Amino acid sequence: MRLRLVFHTIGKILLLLAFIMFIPLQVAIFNRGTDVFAFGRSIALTLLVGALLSLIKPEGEFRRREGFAVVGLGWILLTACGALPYYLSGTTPTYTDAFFETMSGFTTTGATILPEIESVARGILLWRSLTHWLGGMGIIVLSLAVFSFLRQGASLFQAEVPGPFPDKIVPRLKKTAATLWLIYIAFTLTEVIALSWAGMSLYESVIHTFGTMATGGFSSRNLSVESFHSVLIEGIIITFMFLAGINFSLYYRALKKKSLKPLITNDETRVYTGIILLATLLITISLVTKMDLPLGESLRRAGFQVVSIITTTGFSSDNFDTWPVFARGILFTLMFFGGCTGSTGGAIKIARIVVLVKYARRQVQRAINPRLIIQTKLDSAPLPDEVIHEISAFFFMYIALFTFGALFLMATGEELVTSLTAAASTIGNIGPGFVGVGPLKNYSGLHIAAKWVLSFLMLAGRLEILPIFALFSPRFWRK
Amino acid sequence: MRIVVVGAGRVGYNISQALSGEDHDVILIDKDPQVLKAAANKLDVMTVMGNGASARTLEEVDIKSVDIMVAVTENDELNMIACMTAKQCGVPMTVARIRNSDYTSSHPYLLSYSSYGIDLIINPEHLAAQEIFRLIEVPMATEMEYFHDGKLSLIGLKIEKELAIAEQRISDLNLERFTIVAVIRDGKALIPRGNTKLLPKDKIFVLGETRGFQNLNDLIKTKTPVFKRIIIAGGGLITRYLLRLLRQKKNSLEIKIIEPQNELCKTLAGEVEGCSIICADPTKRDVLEEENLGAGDIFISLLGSENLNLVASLLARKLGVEEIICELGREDYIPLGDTIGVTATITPRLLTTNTVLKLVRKSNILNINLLQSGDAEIIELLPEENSPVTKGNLRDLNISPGIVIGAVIHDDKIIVPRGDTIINPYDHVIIFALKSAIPEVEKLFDTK
Repeated sequence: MRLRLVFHTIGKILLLLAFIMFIPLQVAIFNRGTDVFAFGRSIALTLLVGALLSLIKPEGEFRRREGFAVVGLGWILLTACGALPYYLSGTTPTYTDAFFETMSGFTTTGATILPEIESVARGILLWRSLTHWLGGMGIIVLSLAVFSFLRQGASLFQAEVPGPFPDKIVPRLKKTAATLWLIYIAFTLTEVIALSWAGMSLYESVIHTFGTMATGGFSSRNLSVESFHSVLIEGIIITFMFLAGINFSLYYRALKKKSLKPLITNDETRVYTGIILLATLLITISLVTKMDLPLGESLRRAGFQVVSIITTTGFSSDNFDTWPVFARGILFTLMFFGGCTGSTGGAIKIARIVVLVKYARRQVQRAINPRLIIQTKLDSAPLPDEVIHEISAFFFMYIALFTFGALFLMATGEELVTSLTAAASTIGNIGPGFVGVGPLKNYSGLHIAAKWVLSFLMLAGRLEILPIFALFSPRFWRK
Repeated sequence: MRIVVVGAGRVGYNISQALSGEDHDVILIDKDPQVLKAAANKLDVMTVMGNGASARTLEEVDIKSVDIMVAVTENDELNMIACMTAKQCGVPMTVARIRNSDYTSSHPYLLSYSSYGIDLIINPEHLAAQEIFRLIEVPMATEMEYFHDGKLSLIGLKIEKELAIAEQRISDLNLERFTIVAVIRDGKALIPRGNTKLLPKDKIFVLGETRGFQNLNDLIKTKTPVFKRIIIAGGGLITRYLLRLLRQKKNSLEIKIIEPQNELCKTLAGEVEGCSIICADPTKRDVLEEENLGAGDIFISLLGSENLNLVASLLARKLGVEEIICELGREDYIPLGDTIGVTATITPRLLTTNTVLKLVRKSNILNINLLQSGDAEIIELLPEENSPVTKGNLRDLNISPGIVIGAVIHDDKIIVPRGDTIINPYDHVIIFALKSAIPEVEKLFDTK
């Protein structure tokens, strides 16, 4: 392990974070909020830690281990520093709450411990959403685009970009990272303009765009998107949530070829769209028959909630905790699906689900005829067995971690459904769950230990478990 | 530049590593996901799994925007087809590694390669034979590189205790026709000054007219042994190419080949004339003793396996052979050659890599990194009208100590630069520079 290199890199990334904190500071100063000094002190502290760490002279080059270490430790330190504004401004009563809120932000979960959002200082609220936006495309990926010394950091890229096969889209790592961020920024600008046009204030447009494009889910309203009562706004947010759940490298290919073909012919995108349509249909039927809602209204609520949950955003346009049990069951199932590889969405990812289903089918067919040779394919290319093994192992670890989280919550005295959905919602980076952590509730009432465990689950879910498990295994640190 | 490298073996890997380090966009294609994964983890290149000769794979890498195609898989035919397909798609420069001499020898039925769509053919074994041939020409040399159409040579030389120049200051040597451009000490490049003392175990790089090097006595002022025989261990491809070159030269040296395989010996005996072929195992001491190996021999070990070559060379060294050239398939074994007292090592893969790099750089940059230690380069450059280096004599230019002007070629005349030398536009200038001084070199020769 080349610890000097790891700490130097993390130091540089913290400096970048401190630099970005000037944005909410500006907003705080502009609004003469009570949070100005909190930001000032947070920036000073982050700068100090970042500068000290980056003074360490780096040596050696990035291997897999260093990649895991930078991403794993880096995310923890980023969250620790990112939590300072909440804590120093007194927005959250304890540092645990501040850490939870920041982890929820960076991992684009959107689970909140703030019971009353609308009275929070504007600088803090912007920072809260900005953490979403940074974590969505990834702050490490941003660093790869900014710092030239990370050009050998392919392992950093692979550790942070979600999905089983993160690929470069252009030969240069720096350019790949920059291209992904540019596409992300372009979508962000478009949505801000669209939401402003639909009647939102610029400030709230930005907050909700950060929440949408990062598939995060932090809102500036207690009632989330529901409080706008606007079909237009919901429509815009549905569209951009859907787009943010698609593999961003496909947008690059589509732009390059000047055709939509790369998007339309992609297996993962097709299944993703198919699942959304099917789930929306089933929930609409459930809402129409059990709640006697008109068809149009049912479709609107079902569509928004399905896209919001599958992309792991977590906005709500209705209190879905009161929905019929079948509708809630579908939403709970969707919490495990997540967006596409290389999107900003969390959870297991559609590509992995597709591969697992195909693999299971292959095993069944081989049980009937053992001599049958079948290749598991994705986008008509056969997948190496190694990838399938990795995916199977990932699936197991995901479910194991989810079970552990749920049991832990039950041990702290939470209800069964609350525990199950809170664990699924945090590891999948979604946000709201049901009952005790439903769309109108929040996570503030949980036991302090539960908050730390859920923070861990959020991080493990965002970094797709392996880097985090590796970080906590003694073998990893052995020379 | 955008460069496609087909084949992620050692050669493909080395080429990709060097090129991506020089800010080229490299796309590496291979069929094996394992080697690609290894490359993707360590290099800043894009990896694509697939057959580099298939039009579909090439479409995937956007071949129409590619500047150079380098096909270096183990498979000659695949390399050729990859280049042809790339050429069809309008790639300006294609390079193929082709080892089978059936494809590369000139025959009236063979069209010229450019009409197939291959601009440059690299035959690693042929390159190795050429390199060995050059090294035989200048005994004692550990490296040998030509500049300016072969008129100028750069040779590497190990300082041994017995040499007259050992323990001498450079200013005392009175070198008229040569320039010592670099000293490699303990694996690090030093810029020689007048008061630099040459120590045993140093390696020096000397630049001078090729003709002048035919006899090194001038330089090292000691008696080089007179060689009478060339003993080649192994009768493989490199040996055959080398024999062809030696025959052209009408060398008066006696040539003896020791090859363990009976069949191969017979084939060789049928093919070549004027040399004796012995069927025996050259890694056995009594075999070499029986051949009376000794100080008057040049021993070349080309057994195709680095283990056997190292053992044979070690034996030859024990028997008192002073000029030993050893083929090593792996770069990481090169320092072992030094340890056992081999004069020069030949690594066909490295030669292939260097050839491709020279082509891509479009200039005669010889990266010592690839030959030896690591932190310096030798570059041939052509200043233009506005280049700062042409403004004033060398003393007044105040060139940083990391740069040595090795030679200036003005109107085909080779000038050994002194303080009062003035470089004119369009002179060929050969420069040795430490890596840290490369930006200054670029500034000196910039035309803006």
